[in-house]
Amino acid sequence: MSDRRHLTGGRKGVVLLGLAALYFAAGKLGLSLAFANASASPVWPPTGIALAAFLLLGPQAWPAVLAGAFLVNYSTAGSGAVCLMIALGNVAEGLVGARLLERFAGGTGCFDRASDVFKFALLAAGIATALSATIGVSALTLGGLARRADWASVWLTWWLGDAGGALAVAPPLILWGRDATLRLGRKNVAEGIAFAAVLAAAALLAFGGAPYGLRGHTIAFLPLLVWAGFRFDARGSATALLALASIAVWATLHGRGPFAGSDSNESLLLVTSFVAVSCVTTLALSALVARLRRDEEALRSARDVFERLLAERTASLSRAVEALREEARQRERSEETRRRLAAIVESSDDAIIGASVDGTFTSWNAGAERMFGYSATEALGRPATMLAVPGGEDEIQRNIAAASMGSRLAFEARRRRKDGTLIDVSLTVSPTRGPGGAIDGYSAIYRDITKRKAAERALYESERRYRAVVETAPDVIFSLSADGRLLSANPAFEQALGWPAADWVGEDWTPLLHPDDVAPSRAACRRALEGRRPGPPIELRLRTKPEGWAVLETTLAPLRFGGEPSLLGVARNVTVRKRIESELRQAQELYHRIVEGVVDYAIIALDVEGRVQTWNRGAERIQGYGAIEIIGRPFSIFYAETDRARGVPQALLETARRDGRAESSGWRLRKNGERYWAHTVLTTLRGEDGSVRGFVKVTRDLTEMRKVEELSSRLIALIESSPDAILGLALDGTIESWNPEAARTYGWEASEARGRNIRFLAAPEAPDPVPEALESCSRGERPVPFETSWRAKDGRDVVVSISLSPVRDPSGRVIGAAAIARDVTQLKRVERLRSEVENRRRLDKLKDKLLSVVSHELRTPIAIVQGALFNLAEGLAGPLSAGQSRMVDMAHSNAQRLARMINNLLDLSRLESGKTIVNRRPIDLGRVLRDTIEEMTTSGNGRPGIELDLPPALPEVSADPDMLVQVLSNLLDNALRFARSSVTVRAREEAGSVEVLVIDDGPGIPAESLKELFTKFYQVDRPVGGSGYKGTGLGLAICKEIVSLHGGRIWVESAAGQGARFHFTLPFRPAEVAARGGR
Amino acid sequence: MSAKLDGNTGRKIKVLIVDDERELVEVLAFRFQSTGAFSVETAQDGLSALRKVSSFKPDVVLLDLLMPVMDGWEFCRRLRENPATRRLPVIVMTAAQSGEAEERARQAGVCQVVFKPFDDHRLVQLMAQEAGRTT
Repeated sequence: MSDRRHLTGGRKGVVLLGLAALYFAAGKLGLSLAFANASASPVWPPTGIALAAFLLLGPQAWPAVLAGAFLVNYSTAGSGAVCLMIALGNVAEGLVGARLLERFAGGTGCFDRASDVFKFALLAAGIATALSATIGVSALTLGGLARRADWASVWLTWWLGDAGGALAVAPPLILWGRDATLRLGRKNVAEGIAFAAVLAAAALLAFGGAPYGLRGHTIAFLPLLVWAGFRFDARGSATALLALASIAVWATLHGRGPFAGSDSNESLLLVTSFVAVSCVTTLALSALVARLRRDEEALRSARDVFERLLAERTASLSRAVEALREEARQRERSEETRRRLAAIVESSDDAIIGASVDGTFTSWNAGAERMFGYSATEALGRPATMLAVPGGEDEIQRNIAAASMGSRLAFEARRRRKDGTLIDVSLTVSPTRGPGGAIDGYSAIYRDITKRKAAERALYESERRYRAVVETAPDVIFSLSADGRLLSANPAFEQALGWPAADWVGEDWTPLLHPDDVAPSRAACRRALEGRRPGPPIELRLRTKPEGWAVLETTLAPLRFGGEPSLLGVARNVTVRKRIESELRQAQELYHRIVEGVVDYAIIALDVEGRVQTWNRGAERIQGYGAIEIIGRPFSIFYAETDRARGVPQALLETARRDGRAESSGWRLRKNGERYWAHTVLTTLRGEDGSVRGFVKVTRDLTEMRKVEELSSRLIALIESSPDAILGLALDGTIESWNPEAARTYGWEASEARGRNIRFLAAPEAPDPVPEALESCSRGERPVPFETSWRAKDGRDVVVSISLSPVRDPSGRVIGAAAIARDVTQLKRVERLRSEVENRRRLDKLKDKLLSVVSHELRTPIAIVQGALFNLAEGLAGPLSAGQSRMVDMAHSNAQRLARMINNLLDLSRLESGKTIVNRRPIDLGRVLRDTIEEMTTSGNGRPGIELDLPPALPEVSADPDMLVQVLSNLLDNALRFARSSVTVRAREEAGSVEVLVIDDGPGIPAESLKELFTKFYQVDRPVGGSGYKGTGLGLAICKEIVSLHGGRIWVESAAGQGARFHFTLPFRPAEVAARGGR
Repeated sequence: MSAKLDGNTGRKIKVLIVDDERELVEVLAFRFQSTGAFSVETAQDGLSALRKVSSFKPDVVLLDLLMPVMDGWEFCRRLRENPATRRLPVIVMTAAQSGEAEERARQAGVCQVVFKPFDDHRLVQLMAQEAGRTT
């Protein structure tokens, strides 16, 4: 076992140079410790280095060792020769040591076995070093560097130093040089650190000097060395030993530790001994332990191998067992299979037979019994040909022959049953082989396919029928592949398109299609392919053989046939229908356009119920509705509410329904509510069965015509009823028309006047302006109205105002003149009267005002005059003569009269103007009468007496008492003035009122005066009796006004010479009326 | 008539005549004084009449309505405001027409209304009658 490295070239140089350097350095270190001799160090590590180098590198290391040793010594002391000698000694030492170790102790493996460790110690450290020591010390001595006497001691030092170096330094170098790989586990590192710590502690204890060290305690290292030997391999132990040795040497050299003594050589001897013993024992122990471990390892691996082998053998055994079991199972299974097969054969509905090569049956199952009618016993041993149909034996023979040749056959055939009936079978024939593999017969399996055959025949029939249907169908039936190739087409294809189907089958059908229909057809195909049902029919234009187009209404349906998706097309040739439809549509459109475009007539279709269905422009124009808003609504909407309520539209519909036609005219309503005069014709539309389908309503708007008619009739009526004479004249003046007023005014009837010239009316002596006016009319002018005199039939002259206007025909030509001759005779008078009335009214107003103001202003002076005269008449200013008295009386009484007149005038004017306030209250008429009479009689001296004649009870009247008194006093005053001897006042109840009579026996009132008796200022020219007192001419007028204001009546009855009876009535007061009414 | 008036002698009836028509006042005053039964004072407007009422203390006032300074209506109102003269009889003479004037006069507390031109006999009677009511 040699770990020697063979170095070559540059690498060798580098290694040797490094080795030399290392040697030199270690030598320098050793020499620094030398004290016996400068060149004889007690510790010489280079020995170990050299030994290791020669063991690891071989003899080739000598130059480096030689060079290193020479340089160390030469740089220390001595001559070159001495140094060379010493160096040679060193080289020899290493070479010999290494050689000895290789020869006797296993070379670099000298630490693997304990015995080799001891050999190392003896050979390398003991013998080889002696060589070096001898040569070196001799050289020193020879060179004079050492005394001859000291030779022994120097030699010993040298030898010990070298031995120490060999023991301490060589092992770690050799071991690490042999194997430098580090196997560091965490545990190893931890243990290494712990070991180093303990070693350091032990070293401190042993060599630490006085404060620490305890002399002679080197024994403490023993357990450590044992620890290293057991726990670490040789490398670790060697390294630890090197460290321990270094410490021990260093300590001893410094006089510390158990080995330090007075004699350094002795100390060194001790240290070296210690190191040597430690090294040898530890390394030996380590070798032993390593050996032990190796043995353990070998044992362990041997056991592992054995166990693996054991497991393998066990596994293969169990596999064999399992295989055996499986075999058994398979055997069982195959028997089961066989049993089952036999059962199947027996129970099969199929006939399963076996036959020998000569064609006799060798097996015959239940199925065969059933199928052919032969029992197994009957069949076995009989020839197969017994099943042949008459004349079919050959076929069976051929099959047997073929099967015997090893062929397997499958075919359908017909066989005969035992009862002679035939049966369709499907059979398979296959050869059977004997145990030697030779064909020894055949088996046949028959299946009854009679039913299937029947079904197939039926299917075939059905298919044929289908085919016939397809072939004879009038519709084109075709199939298309998914990519648009025509797969098949029936004969109708040729009929429809002119192309033989064969021309297109297999071809893309796209060229057949109208270019515009290609895309729709593709879309339809795609839809049909995606869907499951036929799509909606589409119309396709297809090219026909004589150049043209056929329109086919085509339905495409998905067709699943043979797995490949395809399409079934059924197409109907609708070309003709399309053409007719198109023409019909055009005709309809034309018709619709015509109807639609009619503007003058509303042409509307109504349904049976009278609802609007169509609407044209005429209807829109006339009725005002748009189509959208009217369609669907009843036509009665055109009628006014009142007409609808009377059922006019329904009646019209009924008439049309009955008679087929109805006509009506009348006012109808437009949408905007405007009326129009409609003339409507309703025509019934009937279906082919004669039933009413609806109506056509044609309406004309005749409003304008109607207006003209109405206007002319109104004009005629106007003329007929005109208060003016209206004459139609020809341009030459001939009278053409003569209205009733003309007849009334002039006395000539129309029949008399017509045809005569207008001139005959003119009053003879007056100028006649008519001809001239007629002439201007004929020029189209409108002459200024003029007045003239016409003579009536009875000779009256009538003042007429004539306005003439030209009459034109529709073209505008003047064809005559119209004369309106107004009789202004009356008008003129009325005008006069009116202005008079107006005038009088103004004057009346003026008069009233004048009266009121003047009389008011008159009152005070009259009062003064009257008062003054009264004073005179009463003699208050002194006595008067008879003549004076008479004059004063006259003045006084006339002043009184003047005052009365003024009062009466004012009263009357107030009453007439309606300004008087009537203070009605219930009045006991009897009492008022009595009081008034008493007053009158007392104040009037020398007057006739007044008799009062009253019924026992008079009802109350409602009246203003002052006014009532005024009436009574006026009447009584009159009566007293005119009465000869007596005046009677009488009152009586008379039809809801009370009538009062004032009767006198005076001269009476002449008949001609009675009428105006109650008008103001009227005074009857009659002889006044009594006092000669004169009236004002206003009293009765006032009475009349007052009585009228009270709702009563006043009148007079009289005749000349027979007195007068004045009556007036006053109505009962309301309560009285009610009371009386209840009676 | 004069006998009737005289029958009340012992004390003359005091009459205040108020009117801006001096001549009318004079004629009336002359008449009443001439009978000897009346003692007469006159005024031409309402304000001086009021003074005369307090100094003369008449039994009856004969009053015109339309006057300068203070008219008859205002005079009446003042008269009725004063407790001393509240019940003093007033006879109104008016040139206005009957109806409205009468109604208004009644409201003003006027006893009688006579319309110009008046019945002279009746006026004297009225005077005595009204004066007699208070005396």
